[in-house]
Amino acid sequence: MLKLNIQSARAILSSLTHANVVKTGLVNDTNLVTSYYLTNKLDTQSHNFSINYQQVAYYRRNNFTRPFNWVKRRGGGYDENINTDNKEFLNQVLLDKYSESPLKEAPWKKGEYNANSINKRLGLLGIKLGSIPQWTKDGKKIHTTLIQVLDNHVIDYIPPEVLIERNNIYNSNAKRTKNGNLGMAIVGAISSDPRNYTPQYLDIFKNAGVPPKRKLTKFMVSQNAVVQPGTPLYAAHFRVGDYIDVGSHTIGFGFQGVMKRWGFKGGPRSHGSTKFHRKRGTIGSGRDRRPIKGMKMAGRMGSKWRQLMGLKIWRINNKYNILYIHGPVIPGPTHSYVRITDSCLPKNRERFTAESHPPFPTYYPDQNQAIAEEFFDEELHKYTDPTITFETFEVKKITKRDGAKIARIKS
Amino acid sequence: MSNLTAGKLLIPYSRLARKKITKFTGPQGRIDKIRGIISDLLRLERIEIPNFVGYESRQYAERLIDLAKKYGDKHEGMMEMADYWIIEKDLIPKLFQVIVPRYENKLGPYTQVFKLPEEYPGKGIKNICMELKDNALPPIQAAMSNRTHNNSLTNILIDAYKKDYKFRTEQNKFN
Amino acid sequence: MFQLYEKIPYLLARQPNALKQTIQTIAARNYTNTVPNRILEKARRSKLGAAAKGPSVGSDERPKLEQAEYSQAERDYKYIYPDFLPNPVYYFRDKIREKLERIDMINRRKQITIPEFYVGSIMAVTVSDPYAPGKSNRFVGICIRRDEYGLKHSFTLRNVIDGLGVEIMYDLYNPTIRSIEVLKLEKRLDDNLSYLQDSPPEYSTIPFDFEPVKLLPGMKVPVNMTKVPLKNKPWRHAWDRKALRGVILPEIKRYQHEEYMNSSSDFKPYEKWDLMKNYRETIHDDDHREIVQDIKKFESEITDKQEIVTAAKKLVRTRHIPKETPSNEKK
Repeated sequence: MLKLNIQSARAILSSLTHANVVKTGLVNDTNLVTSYYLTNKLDTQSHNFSINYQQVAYYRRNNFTRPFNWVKRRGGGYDENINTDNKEFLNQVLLDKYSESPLKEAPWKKGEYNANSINKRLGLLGIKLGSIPQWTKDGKKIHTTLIQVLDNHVIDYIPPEVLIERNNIYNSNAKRTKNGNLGMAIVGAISSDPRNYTPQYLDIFKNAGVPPKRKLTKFMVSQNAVVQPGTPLYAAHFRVGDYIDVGSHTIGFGFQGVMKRWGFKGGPRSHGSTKFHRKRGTIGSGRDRRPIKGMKMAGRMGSKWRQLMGLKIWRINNKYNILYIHGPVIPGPTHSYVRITDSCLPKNRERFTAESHPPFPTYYPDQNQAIAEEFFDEELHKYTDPTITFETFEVKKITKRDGAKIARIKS
Repeated sequence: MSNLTAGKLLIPYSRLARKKITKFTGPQGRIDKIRGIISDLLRLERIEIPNFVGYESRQYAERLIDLAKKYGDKHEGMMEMADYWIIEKDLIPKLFQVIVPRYENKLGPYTQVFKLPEEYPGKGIKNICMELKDNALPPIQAAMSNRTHNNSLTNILIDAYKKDYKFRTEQNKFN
Repeated sequence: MFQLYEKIPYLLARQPNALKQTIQTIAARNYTNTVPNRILEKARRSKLGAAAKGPSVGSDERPKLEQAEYSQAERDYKYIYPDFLPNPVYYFRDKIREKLERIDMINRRKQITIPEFYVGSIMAVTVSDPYAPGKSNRFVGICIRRDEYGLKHSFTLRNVIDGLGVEIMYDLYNPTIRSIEVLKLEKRLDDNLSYLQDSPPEYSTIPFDFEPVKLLPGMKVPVNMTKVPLKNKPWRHAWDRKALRGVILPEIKRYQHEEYMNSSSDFKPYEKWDLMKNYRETIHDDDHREIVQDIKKFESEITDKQEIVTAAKKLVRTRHIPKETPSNEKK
């Protein structure tokens, strides 16, 4: 009986968006659920939270599934025959509304870097601009891609206590929140006209006090790296020389054959082959009476989520908020959205100490002290420097006497 | 010469529409069809055509007038171009002597397009009306431009809100 | 009424198909999960975000629309500085990236003098090389082709040394390049001389002690009208299928036959008159305006500081063959 109650309570909670939860103060009602675990002495770690017991392994991710907190985004935008005077007035009202400082509450306490615990900062939502070459001081050529961080704001923060009650089919909540240590921060990019969106979507931005964004993402954040909703984010969030992970959707090619999708060789052009120029061979032998799963066949190519890890930041432009990132092969076409975080690789984490670490929790601009327009890595060649020359040095010829000395020492 | 940069002339039309033109006659037939429409447009200055053909031939007409403005009638390559695109040859002097001086001090698109209502019941073909700007024909948009919507509900509500907003902002100043 | 009854099922049957097709085309395109270019530039200039007030977000203001009237000298920038032109494919373009590229290019051009050169002119390039004796390497050859746009711009030199064809591709903005000299400034009949690979070697052999030929001031760039005979097949590419001017094909009956030439995939007579195709594949004057302003500013700065630049260049050249050996610390 108890179980049923919990499930029904959870279903109610999951159906509400976070905005509604905050407004109505339903957060306190979660005690009902937590008390159950306390009384029955069940660890959150060992328990599986998912209701859905179906097999998930071969779920097709290509299809679009709506998350539980999904709201309709675009709406309005009808021609209502508004006069030109009134149009100008409405534009002015919008500018007045959003030109105020979005931080309405008292500023939250800024967390500090703790060397002994998890330090997981939030990331940025950038736009890919294309690739250009750069050179190191040794004269080696590097390809870098430019990513612009345009109009980024922190929009929401969901603490782990609320997050742990939400249902997730793919990951258990305990795993996601690292046993209640991580919260979720939501970051948006490119502010736009609120008249083109639905009121349900605008509710998300009410707490932050910023205009609605075209794109949103979420980042799992540790307790000491929480940032207040409404604060702007800049490219100086990262340092030059640090390593990052970059993820986005690859270029979509539609339904493609086996030669383009998997690089198969196909059949011969001539020599008597009929209807076998761009096909694959057999699918499998007759023993299992079925093809093995994951067989490479024709199908939809591209437009999948891919992540690259451990890319170095070579250069940062603070005027336009642009990161120069190592490598020409960051997934996606030009002007695609790109998600950037600190690299989760252990080599990158070991580099940080209590004295030298990236700005924590983010970079806050100081009005009195302006930063430099561009940051360069130490190994990178600046174009304002003179041409690279390699200095000559003489290799001393080993005379007979020196060689004898060395031999004597070795023995 | 004009404000038509590379991005601006990318008038959105679907690939399917392009296929319709080239379905039976191939790429040469597509260009022949556009040639006919351009000479129609120069003669009549206002035409009714289907959506997918109109949007595509509009770009060519714009570009031809733009080049005629730029090079004039004494340029050899320009005259060859005009000779190819205008089938009825008596229209070539009209392009240089009437239409180019008309848009001499003008930037931007020289044509305009109005969507026409869809016929119902019909085959679902969307037609448009395309015309050269500043022509001598009676204007299409006259009835629309004289009409005011000041007494519509949304405008009245916004007017009331405007008064309230101004009053509040002044009050805040004193406080 | 009869008409209506007949046509409604027709429409109903048609609508889902049309929807399906549009969805398929959108899914097939690679524009998913992107921002359209026009909206992006609007967002860069918008004042809506509170961050627009912050220290470092957004781009410069939009330039005013004017009727561009260029002088002949300014029109020639297209040919003198082809590396400054953006990529004509609209899909690859971004205004801020192009601007940042241009700043880097101009900064590099202030360090060494990059002269005016064309495909077909004879050049010498010296590069600092850690493995070469004297730490530098000099190569002389004909410029065969110029590729790519912006900082990626490159040119290739070809020469035949001891009976072996050698081609070296240089990045124009590579900071290891010490100097670029033009020994003989001239043009050829084609924009791409890759067919020299399949021609006899005497057409691409140049001695390393080639004496520079000077042009008189105020002279136009001369065009070399020589036509190159090709060897017999096999070739690297099908040169007979391409519209080349500076080539003499070997005498075969097939080439004189019109149908053979017209059957090639490059033969598209309707593309000659296609206004919009030409328009989309070349850079328009209005797109060229910002670039012209930047180049003019750069040239005016160079003329003021020309003496300083030449002095700096001398310093570099003395470093060319250092007499005294420095200490071994920097190994």
